[in-house]
Amino acid sequence: MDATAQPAPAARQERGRFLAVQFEDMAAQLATGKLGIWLFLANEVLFFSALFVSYGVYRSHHPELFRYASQFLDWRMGATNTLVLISSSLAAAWSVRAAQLGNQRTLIRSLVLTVVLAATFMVVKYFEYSHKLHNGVGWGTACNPSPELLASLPAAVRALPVPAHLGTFFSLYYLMTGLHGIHVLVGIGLYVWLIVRARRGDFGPGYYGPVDAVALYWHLVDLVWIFLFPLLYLI
Amino acid sequence: MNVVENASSHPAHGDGAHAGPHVLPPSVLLGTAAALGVLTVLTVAVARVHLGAANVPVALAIATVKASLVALFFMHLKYEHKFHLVILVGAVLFAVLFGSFVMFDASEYRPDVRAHEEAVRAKAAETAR
Repeated sequence: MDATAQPAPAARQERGRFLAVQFEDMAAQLATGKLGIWLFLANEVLFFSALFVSYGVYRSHHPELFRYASQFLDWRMGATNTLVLISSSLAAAWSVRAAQLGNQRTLIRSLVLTVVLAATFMVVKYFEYSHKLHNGVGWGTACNPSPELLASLPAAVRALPVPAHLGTFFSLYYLMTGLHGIHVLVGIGLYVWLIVRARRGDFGPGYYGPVDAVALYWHLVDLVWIFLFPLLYLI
Repeated sequence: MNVVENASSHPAHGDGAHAGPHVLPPSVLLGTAAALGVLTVLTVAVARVHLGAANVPVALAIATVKASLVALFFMHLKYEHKFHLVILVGAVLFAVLFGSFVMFDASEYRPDVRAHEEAVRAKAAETAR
């Protein structure tokens, strides 16, 4: 190693507390971090694409099954959760703005709002899941809807026989919304971490990379739901 | 380093380095959220109307518009280094390619699967008799 390549001791002291040793300055660190996050998000897109493709194959072969099964989903719950996630994304985008401007109060408030809305999403999801599971609507072969649930369906649907492979739809439903839900839970964890750090005063115009990175992840979780909602609830 | 020189020589490299971060104004953030809300209502409304085979493409088209709004504004892609857009669009194109080939393949073998299902059903009926 060439000694001249190392920064002088004084310059090293000027390095920010959060500047990792391999970066020349905060801008280089931020740009590299962003590239990393975008590569991760590309990976997430491909990860979820496998589920969307299996959905496409099953639906193209059994359209009647999907039309029937979506009657078990309450579109009002799905629409509510869509609006909740959009609001949460707005709060997340606002937190990035607040960090860039160095507005501590707005930063902490918008981070808290993001988590509260994320938790609201999970509460709605919990009610949906428990309602289904209590009425025998599980995945795979464990899908035997209770007579009370069948009786609550619209008359036109009630007249139809229960399709043989109803559980296939619900395997996809639980897998897709479940993996999405796990992403929401991870997001809640990340936002709690950001709140702890923001309260400590870590973030500001000179250092907001983590707020930005988590917000990008959070927007992607929102993006996945934007596609899940019409594909599952509005058939 | 002055901003003007930086902007003229290396717009990509100097991105955010000296010109400061790109801060989205409240009007853009609120406008994006409002548009997403309106499009959500539109998705639900369109699903109530029977369009036959067009229902799925219409729902996907609205979802794609919503996704683009989120990506361009909330995710800053409109203002960012274009390479990030290339990464996202590249991933989406690969996903579409993946889906298309799987669908081709599944449709190609569908008659064989149907024939097999028929045979299994016929055999079960025979055993029952």
